[in-house]
Amino acid sequence: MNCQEARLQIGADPGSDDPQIAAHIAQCAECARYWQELRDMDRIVSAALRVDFPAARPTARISPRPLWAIAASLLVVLVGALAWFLNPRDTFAAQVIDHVNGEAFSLVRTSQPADAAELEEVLERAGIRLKPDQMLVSYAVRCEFRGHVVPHLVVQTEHGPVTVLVLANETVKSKRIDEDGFEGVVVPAPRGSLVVLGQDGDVQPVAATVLNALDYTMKTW
Amino acid sequence: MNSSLDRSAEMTAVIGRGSGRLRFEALCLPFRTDLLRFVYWLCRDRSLAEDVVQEALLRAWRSFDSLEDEQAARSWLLTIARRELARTFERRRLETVDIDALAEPAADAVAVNDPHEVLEMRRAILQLDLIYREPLMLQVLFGYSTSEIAAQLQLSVPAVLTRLFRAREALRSRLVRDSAGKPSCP
Repeated sequence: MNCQEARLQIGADPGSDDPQIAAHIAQCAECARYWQELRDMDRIVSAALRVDFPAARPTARISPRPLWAIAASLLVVLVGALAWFLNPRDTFAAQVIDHVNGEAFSLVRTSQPADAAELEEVLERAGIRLKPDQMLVSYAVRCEFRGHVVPHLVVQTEHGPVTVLVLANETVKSKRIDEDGFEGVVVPAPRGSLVVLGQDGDVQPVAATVLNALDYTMKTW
Repeated sequence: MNSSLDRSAEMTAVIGRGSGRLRFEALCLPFRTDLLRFVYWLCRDRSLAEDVVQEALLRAWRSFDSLEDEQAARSWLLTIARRELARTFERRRLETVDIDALAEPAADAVAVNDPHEVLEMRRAILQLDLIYREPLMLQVLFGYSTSEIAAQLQLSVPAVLTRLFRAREALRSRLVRDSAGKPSCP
């Protein structure tokens, strides 16, 4: 398990007792700090969620003052954010790969399709429909990417899971992506562009399949 | 008598008396606070949450025979409450809520040493999108596993993991932003 995978798992469930997480944080100080930070934050989240009832009890107003404890515990995040802003790795390919790495949970081989209603809604909001029986979509969410909310799909292929970002509102120059173990293509679509990104083999045929499977004739919302 | 007690008396009148009622009360009423919190965090309105939970408990009583597994009582009640809230939203046009006004906490709701942290966190949670707020609540408040949340929300496990990750990232980002804007001395 690398740091990226560990942080995704920790971010999704800081209370997990997964031995792989335990083994990773035992030998990685940065991830151990992140894990502790999120556990501390979850303690506050838990307290914040425990709203008391009934509401008829007298309430006390608390005068506002700075949150030094939170500021201190999250300072490392601010530094991280600054570092991110200063990082020159801001090419389109890097943005795609960063985004896909941020949802690594979705990159699993499975024969289980995404919820049909959820998939339909994700695509409908971009004015797109999936033609029936064209491909197995195992994951479908709406994501913010480069200032637009875009459908983010994972399609199951014989070479494993392949990510598809449907950029219906943005036209990006066609290109190949070959970075950080990912191979992908950006291809023109009836509206905007399509990003297809895999980790095992040429995804050009997958891009053709996806383009054929998506119906762009719906009106956008 | 406050409105909550009025409603409890009304509910007792509707439910009536008998061993079925006693079993229902013993099994379901301990979850009333959980239900109130659950609905509150969905709709962000205390009085609406109380109304919805009251209706949900009445519906639960009427369909109590359909509860096959008593161990699943809380999930069963949460599902009923969510549906009742959806029905309420369909029936009436709800007013816009003022997040800042909602975020003023009751002092006795605070369970950690620094109530200001909790206040800020509550404000941040209130501003999360519902699709992130609900799985986070189910995990942190009710201790549901990822697969249980997936079943409850009819989502895939990877989708739930993504939402949970994004929820925490959104909270961290917001709290860092707020903290960065504070003056450096009291």
